[in-house]
Amino acid sequence: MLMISFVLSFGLLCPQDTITKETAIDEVVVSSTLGSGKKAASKGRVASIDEHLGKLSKVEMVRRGNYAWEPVVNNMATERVSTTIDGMKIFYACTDKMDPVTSYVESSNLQRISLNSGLDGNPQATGNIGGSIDLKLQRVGFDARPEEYNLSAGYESNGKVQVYGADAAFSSHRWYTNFGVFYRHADNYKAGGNKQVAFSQFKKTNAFANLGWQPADDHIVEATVIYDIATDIGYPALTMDVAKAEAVITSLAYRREHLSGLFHRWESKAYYNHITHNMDDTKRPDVAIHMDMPGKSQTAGLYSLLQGNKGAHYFLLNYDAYYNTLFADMTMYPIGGQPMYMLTWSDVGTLNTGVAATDDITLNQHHHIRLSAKAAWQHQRINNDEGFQALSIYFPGMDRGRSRFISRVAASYAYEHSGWKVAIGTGYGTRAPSVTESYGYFLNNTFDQYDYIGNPHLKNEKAIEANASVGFSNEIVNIKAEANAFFFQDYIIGRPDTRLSAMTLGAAGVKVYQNLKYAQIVNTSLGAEVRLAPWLVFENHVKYSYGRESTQARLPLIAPLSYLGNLRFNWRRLQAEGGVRMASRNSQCGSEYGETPTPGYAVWHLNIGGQFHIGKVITNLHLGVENLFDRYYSTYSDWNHIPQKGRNIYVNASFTL
Amino acid sequence: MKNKNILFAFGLFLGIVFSACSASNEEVPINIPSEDDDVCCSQDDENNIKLILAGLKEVTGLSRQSVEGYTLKVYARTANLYVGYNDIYFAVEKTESGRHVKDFAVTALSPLMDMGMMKHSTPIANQFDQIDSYPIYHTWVAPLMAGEWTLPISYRIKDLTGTLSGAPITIEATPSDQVWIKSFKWNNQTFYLTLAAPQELKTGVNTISAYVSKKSDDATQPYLPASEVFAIDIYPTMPDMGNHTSPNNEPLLLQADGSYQGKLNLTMTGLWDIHLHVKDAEGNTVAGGEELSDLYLSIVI
Repeated sequence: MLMISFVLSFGLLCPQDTITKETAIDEVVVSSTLGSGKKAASKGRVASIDEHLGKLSKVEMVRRGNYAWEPVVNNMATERVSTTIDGMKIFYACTDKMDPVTSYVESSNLQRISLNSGLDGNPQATGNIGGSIDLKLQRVGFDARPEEYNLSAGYESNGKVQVYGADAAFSSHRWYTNFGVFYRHADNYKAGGNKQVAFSQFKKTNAFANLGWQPADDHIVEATVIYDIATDIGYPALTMDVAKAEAVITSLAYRREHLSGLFHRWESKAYYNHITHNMDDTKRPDVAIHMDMPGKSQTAGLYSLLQGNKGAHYFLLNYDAYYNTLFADMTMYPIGGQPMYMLTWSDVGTLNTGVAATDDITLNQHHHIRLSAKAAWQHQRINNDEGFQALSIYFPGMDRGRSRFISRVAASYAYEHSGWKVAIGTGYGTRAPSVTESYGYFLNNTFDQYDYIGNPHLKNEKAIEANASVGFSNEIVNIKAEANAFFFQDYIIGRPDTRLSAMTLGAAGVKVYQNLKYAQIVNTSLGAEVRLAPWLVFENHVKYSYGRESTQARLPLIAPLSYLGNLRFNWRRLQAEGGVRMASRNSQCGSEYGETPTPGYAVWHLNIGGQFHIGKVITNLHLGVENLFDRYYSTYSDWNHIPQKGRNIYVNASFTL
Repeated sequence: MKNKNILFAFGLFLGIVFSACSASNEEVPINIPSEDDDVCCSQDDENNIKLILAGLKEVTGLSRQSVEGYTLKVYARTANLYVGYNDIYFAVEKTESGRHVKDFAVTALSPLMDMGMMKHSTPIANQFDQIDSYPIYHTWVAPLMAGEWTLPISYRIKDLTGTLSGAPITIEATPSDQVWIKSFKWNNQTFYLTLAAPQELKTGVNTISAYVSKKSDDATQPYLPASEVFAIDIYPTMPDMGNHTSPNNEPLLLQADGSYQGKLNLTMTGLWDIHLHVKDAEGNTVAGGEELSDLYLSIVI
């Protein structure tokens, strides 16, 4: 059936409109990952969302364990990145970022993941200075194959990872449905040198169902339900694990197709999602004080999107609104003492509503312009009195709620001629502080060992983006040099306040979120693919990034110089790959922010995959080795330098009937 | 007619709730005993008194002491008194009718603990306040320790005066090992700091009040609020959280009403030690010291 595929849709570099894009996706669907030219994880269908995300060239993953990695786009983490599921807003429920929202979906739910770099976000995105990720759900659609069945299974030697999935799809002209179940299980993995990493296990089950109904042609009603539950998740980089992380994601949409006039498509969607997250320290030895730390996130929202074209213009108009509440509290039980209770997210309600517009203008086959803008109004309020009273100790006379106006604009121009492609772009945007940054209360950060307190008086963060790329491609080579730079004003980051007393035992102190005068992040990359023979491609990528703030200190968690080299072989329906990932020591790390240098490393991998037809059954097989020489290493984004997996042999298969 | 009844019932309801509406309507079906008018209160007052007292409990062993046809009742937040600050309330009923007596006063309260080898009293208020001009009197007592105490009450009911000694009552220890009263010595005299209000502390900013009492030269006499003026810095910490503390606390300073007031900031629930630094009017240290002084109260919220 459909293979998961990943399309990097940088607005400025992919000037084609959405319809064209989706056609392209359809082609990927038929031809599967092999030789499609699109990015895909080497593990194919059973790869985790995190592994798929890691394939996006502007994305790095912050790892706190073997599960629920946090995507970082253009060296900016969750606060500066918008993540939506088919345009639906969803917010994580853990104050310690143990559950990025990408952890609540499964590969089988998705058709593709699209990333918009920088301020040129998707229409539903807000606060997307770094970029916006939209997880596109996999819907079988009308008039597809009448019935289709899939089974997949995978095994990995390191950590005895087991993956099982089953789904089915039925389609007619009036109805379609696809649904399935996915299960993953992992024991503790071993780092290089056979060193077991304790508390790195997890278990996850995901079930989903999509339903489509077309009562009349071009009148489409679509519904989605996703239920995701992960239990017994270890976080070796943290002092706590997670007993349960559970999400229910639902949506109901009405769509009109092939409208005449200015707009040809109109889609309106209402959605609701609910996440509960329970941390657990009962399995850890030497716990000074046992704590219960549950969190809850609920979001209800809607959007209405018009798509149209006229002449050279292809445009989108979107209205969206959502209401989210975040609640988290903490109860500590000292042995023989009185329990202690505090709210860490005081039931903070966020109402956000905005309008967005984009216009792709194709002047001719050489010149292309893209414009996008969004304006939103947001009101945030502490709904819980106890939490409000507590934060008022630190901010006497603070208001319980606050309204903000946030906006972004982006413009880009691309020129294409005889294999050359040159693009430049710029943007300006603001973002409202996150709930943690505004109202978080004694959130301990194990990265720098500080307790963090939000600051209700923060100003919006502002950023100007400039980007440029030059590329050349023909049948033999494909070369691209790219750079983007973000110049921030009122950059939000936690700074120590020595007058305040830490709460967490052993904490270094208290940090309060502040607006720094300015900061900048610069990302550069150079990619070169050379087709050495019709069956052999040599792929090279070099990346370098830089981040500094107004006190001249380096920003934390900025990727060091890294290199990815791959030799890709294609032979009939087989594809094989061997390569290396290297990174230099990040000696210029954010030491001011508690970061310590990570040594450089080189890690080798091999894999082979193929597609076979056995009777009516299409079989995809993947076999590979990660960390071939069993090297003990960690990347700069491994929280507290927890080691990566040692040698790992994986095999997986999926069958489609 | 029916409508009139409803209106009337509504009026009666208002009359009960709001004493101001003393519409003594001859249609009122409740029969007010007229022979007690000089002793007891109006029906409206009676209702309001009951409303006030309904939120309180009679103190076991102290209440319902009888004197010549009257019953002296003693109330507090709970049926037991505890070590540290206790609000207590007095009211007198005519035993026969159960109606409250207007013309009475409590003139003295003399708590005493008899430890065999020695006897001593404890801090009390230096006045009895009337509640909202109703015949209910309020004072406070802060027993120093748990155990058997006597609390003789001197009274005047109309022309009748006397003292009700009462049987010894048991003062309970403060729940959860809290310490709401603490002594310190200065110039060879003993003082007691009593945290008074609020009785229910909460997470956030608490405006607190306290009293500083001086031990009487004759220890069997009640300890009244001290005439010396102090300024008391407070430094709250959580001993279970590595002495985590809170910012922006304000010292206890003497107010016109004889109490001390300050601001106590509690960042979460649990056990808090409130470390004290008592200074005299010139700012010299009297007792305790800066930050983690060994003079501290312990409270649990």
